[in-house]
Amino acid sequence: MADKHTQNYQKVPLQVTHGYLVASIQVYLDEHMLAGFRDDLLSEIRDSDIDGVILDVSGVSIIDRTSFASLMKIRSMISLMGTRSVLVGIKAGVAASLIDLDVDLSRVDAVLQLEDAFELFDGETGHLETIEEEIDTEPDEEQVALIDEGAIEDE
Amino acid sequence: MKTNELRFHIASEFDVKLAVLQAGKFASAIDSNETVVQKIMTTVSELAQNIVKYAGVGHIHVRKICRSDIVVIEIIAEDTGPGIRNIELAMGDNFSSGGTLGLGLPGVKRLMDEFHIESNAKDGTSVTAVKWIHDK
Repeated sequence: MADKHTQNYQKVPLQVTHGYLVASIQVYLDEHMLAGFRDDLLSEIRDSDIDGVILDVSGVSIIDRTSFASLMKIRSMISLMGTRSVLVGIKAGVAASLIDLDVDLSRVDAVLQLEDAFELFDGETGHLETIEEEIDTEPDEEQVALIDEGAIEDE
Repeated sequence: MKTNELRFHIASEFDVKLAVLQAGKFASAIDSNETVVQKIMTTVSELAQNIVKYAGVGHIHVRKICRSDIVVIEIIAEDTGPGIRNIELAMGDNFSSGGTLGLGLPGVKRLMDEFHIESNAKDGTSVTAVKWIHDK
């Protein structure tokens, strides 16, 4: 156990597919592994011309508060480097546990399968337009007030 | 009462990982439901990390207990660290929700079916968390 700080962490395969970087995380997420992964990932982003990072966690059986926070930090770093990222394939038990642990999910983007991640990134612009339209059609408080006044006048 | 037990000495992150993975194997041999197994692994991880972070050293026991009506998996985390000064506060969601601050004990309570904690400055902390396994 003397060499535990010097041992290499289990490498996460990084592969560029359709212009996106796919990281297939299939190992236990400890601090050491996550630090090595973060460094490898950020250098890969710096060195390759990619349009997004796909973090495939379908092989991860446990994400606790600490490793979840580390993953979110890595996502923030990816974002600071000017690219986007998405989590793919969170297991049912991991999702259920994260809800029980009450972690902050407000910044989580996740899809079920790898293909969904490609689709999300490919169609991201269209996707954003749809959301804006939805917001536009929602009546604000003033409009609601006007409608209410109109109803009174009708009587 | 029949028991079947694992015991881990916890003093480093490496010990945490070992306990989590072994507890996962242990639990999956008793219950094939992946979600139950993952919740047990998450509980062991949270409790073991608290030991490393706040007490430095301690133990985790994982055991199967056959009660008269049900089989359960019991996780006990104990240490002789400084103890939790205000248990009520530590069990309140405001104290520990969001991020990695606090002990995450309300989360562990939600992950499991039974939860009991004893803590004082003299003896340290002992957390008992039990998961009910339905298919006996």
